[in-house]
Amino acid sequence: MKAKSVDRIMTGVIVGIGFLIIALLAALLGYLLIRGVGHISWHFLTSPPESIRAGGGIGPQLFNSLFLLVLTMIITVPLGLGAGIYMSEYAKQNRLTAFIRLIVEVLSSFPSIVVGLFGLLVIVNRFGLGLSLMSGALALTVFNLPLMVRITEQALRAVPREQKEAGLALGLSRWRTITTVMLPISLPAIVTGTILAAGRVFGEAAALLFTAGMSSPRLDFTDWNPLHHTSPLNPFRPAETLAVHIWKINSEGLAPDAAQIAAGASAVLIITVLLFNLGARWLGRVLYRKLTAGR
Amino acid sequence: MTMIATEKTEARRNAAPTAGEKPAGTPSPADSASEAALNAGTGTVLPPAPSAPPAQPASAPKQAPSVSAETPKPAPSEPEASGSALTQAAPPPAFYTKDLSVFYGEKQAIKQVSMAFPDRQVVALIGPSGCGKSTFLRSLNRMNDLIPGASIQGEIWIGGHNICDSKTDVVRLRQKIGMVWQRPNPFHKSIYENVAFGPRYHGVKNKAALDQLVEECLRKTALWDEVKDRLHQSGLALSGGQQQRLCIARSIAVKPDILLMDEPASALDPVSTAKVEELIAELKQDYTIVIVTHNMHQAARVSDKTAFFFLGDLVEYDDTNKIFTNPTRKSTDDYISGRFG
Amino acid sequence: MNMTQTRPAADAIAKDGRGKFPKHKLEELRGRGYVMFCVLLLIVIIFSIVYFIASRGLTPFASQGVSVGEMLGGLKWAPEADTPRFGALPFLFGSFATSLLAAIIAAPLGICAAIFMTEMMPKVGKNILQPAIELLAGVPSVVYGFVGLSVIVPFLRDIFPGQGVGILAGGIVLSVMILPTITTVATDALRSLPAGLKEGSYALGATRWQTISRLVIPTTLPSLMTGVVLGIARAFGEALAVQMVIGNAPHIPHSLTQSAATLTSIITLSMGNTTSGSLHNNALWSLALILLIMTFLFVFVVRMLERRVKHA
Repeated sequence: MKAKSVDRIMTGVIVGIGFLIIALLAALLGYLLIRGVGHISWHFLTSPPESIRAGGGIGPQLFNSLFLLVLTMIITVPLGLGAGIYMSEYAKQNRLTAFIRLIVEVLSSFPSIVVGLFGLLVIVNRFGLGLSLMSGALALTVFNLPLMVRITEQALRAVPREQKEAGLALGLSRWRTITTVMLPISLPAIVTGTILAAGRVFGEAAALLFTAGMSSPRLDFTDWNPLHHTSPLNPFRPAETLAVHIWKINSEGLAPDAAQIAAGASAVLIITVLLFNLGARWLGRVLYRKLTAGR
Repeated sequence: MTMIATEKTEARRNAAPTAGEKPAGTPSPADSASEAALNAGTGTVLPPAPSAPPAQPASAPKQAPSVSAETPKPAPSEPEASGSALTQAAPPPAFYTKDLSVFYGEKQAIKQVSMAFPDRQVVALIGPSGCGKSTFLRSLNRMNDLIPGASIQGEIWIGGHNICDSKTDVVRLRQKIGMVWQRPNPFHKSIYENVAFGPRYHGVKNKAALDQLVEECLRKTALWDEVKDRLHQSGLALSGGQQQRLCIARSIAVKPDILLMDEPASALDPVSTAKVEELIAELKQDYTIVIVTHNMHQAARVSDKTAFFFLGDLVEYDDTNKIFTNPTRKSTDDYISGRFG
Repeated sequence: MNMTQTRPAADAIAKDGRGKFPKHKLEELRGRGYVMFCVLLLIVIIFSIVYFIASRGLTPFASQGVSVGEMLGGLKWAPEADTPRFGALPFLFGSFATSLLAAIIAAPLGICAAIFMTEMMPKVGKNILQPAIELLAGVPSVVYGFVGLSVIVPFLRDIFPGQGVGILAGGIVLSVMILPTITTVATDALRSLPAGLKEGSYALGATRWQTISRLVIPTTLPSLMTGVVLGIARAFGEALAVQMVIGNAPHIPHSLTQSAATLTSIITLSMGNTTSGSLHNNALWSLALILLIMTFLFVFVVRMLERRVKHA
């Protein structure tokens, strides 16, 4: 009967660990929200930060994060779709494909700080884009592209073969079959994956330290001409994002309420990530239902 | 051997080329198949083939395109020819294969199959699973190209062109050859879109013309009355049998000449199956149909000719009637009577 | 050619290559060109990353008189001293120590979580634990750093002597960060196990734990290891969260709760404060090159393990 009691003990241990992890997440979220939500106010979300006085906000940082996200996705999605389509539909089973697969794998395992350094060296200095939103977006594209490729490839591979064959049998070119028959079917998976990837971009900081910069010029939120220096929409200005801001005030914050600002900003960040997560699932489900309506 | 074949071919040149039936005691069914192919193509488009197999009578391709192919006469010398074949004007074949082999990597899935498909008739491909009938079907519109490692040898002649030729425009070819799959696979689009999708791609932009075409195709597949009020609902909302008929409507909307059907009713209930079978009988007025089926009753019901495949070989190919009542080969008989497969 | 006459059939097929360039070939060409361009871009990106970082990172060795031996084995990092020293061993030690510690903590937890989800309570697993793990994976690293700094560091300060920062704090923070990686890979491995295998064991009268410990874990070991290595790789490259809790003292610590530094933390801190082209700056690029080489090494190990999975 010894085996039985060992079994019972180990079952208890494993179930305990399972619930421990759930508790860990709950504690993490609870801590962030309880500490941070109290600090979140309209003023906090919209006003610029203060360097030495209390009462600073995260307005520009929040805007920068969102703008950078949009910019990154505009560059990443078409490229990721293209490469993903190649990998799933055009790549032959040969050494070249194996090599490209290896490249995608290596690229996705590069530490984000290395990607940031590459951005500093090539995009910021060599291309002369300087510390700017555009540099940050390009660095994040490097960082995000392999993920996007994998999402697209997997989504396309999940399309039933008969659907593809049906398109081809109608005399459609391969490209047309992919874009008009297969992509619509794989859309829910691609959208879900893309939003999750966007969440990752939103929280990324290491790759941005040396590309988008750690400071934000005074922004004039009444000036929406992207060519003006103080315009929020100018993609060639330095921009500190929310995640970078959290890091900065934690390591060198001088304002008396730095801890509260960090807590509030972390709460905003985690809430946004939560929204991305839930939004991705919801949108994926809605799209799926819409595309397979009636079933 | 060569002698016999030559004699027979000579005799047959005057006979209805589509009739696969032959005098009792034919030496080998494989011969009869390749011979059917020859007959089918008598004096028409047989290419100047340097690689012609030895059994092939050299005289046949050299024959000038004779009148016989266009207006076949009844063959008085053909004692076994059935009455219908005698009276009916048999058209030339829609297409035929010659020594068609398909490989998956090293493995040969189809072994030098030659057969002719008579115009506007239904040919059923039967045989135990794994015998290569689906592979054969899928090579007819080069769909097997999609499978990694699959390669094709031999010739498939459609309208005077060998589509196995690497220069073939596969995309255009496939427009002319419709296909229906085992599981209904309507696009994840509306019923209307499912049908209109192909023609629109091929240049039918006019809304009225599209509407008319959609209605026509849905009527042809006996679906119109069932779906006319919900054309813009998803095709996936239909029942399995309706979906399959929608798929048939979709493929005839691009005006193919040939329809390939890969066990089109095997995923359907008996009522839907019956409807699809009825449909096949009607469609053959306009299309040449090749159907793979594992259901022998279905083959017997719907087809004009039946080919029995076994282990990649075309064992026997003849009128359906003949195959099911008096097959020449023992293995055909065994399979049909359920002794294996 | 009577066939073509009887059936206008497939005469369209014949017109390939001749006459007007068909629309479908044009769009195919365009599409194919576009996807090829995307893939080419991927290839260009990776090669330029390797090229640029290597060319900067090799400068100290090639032309500035720093020896590889000193970089990898030296204990003293004093880039701004009169006789600058570039011993990166403390950072290497810090990186390895934090990521291995993280793996030691996270591997059992992650594998148990996977067993919990696949063998014990699949319902709770699928509905609660799985989403929880996915959420953990989505939490940004600065948030982990913030929580580490405001919860774990003070906690450790209370228990152990010292400031609370150091390898232990870094390891704990990283362990939470890599837990999702390990759990996800382990769960996939356990799910792909054929059901008959386990049933066979149960049929012989083995208990669930016996089945898990003697059959399930040994069979899936290479896959489980893959997850752990992927986790270590992620921990090794993580920059900000570690930097926030490790203390950033450039020496090998005497205890787990003494201030230390990692490759990523020193790069993060110093890169902005050095002038491009200076020896100090180039030495930092050398550290980045080490990170890059480690990435290749991890990918290689993962590939090896995956090969074993396939052959098993």
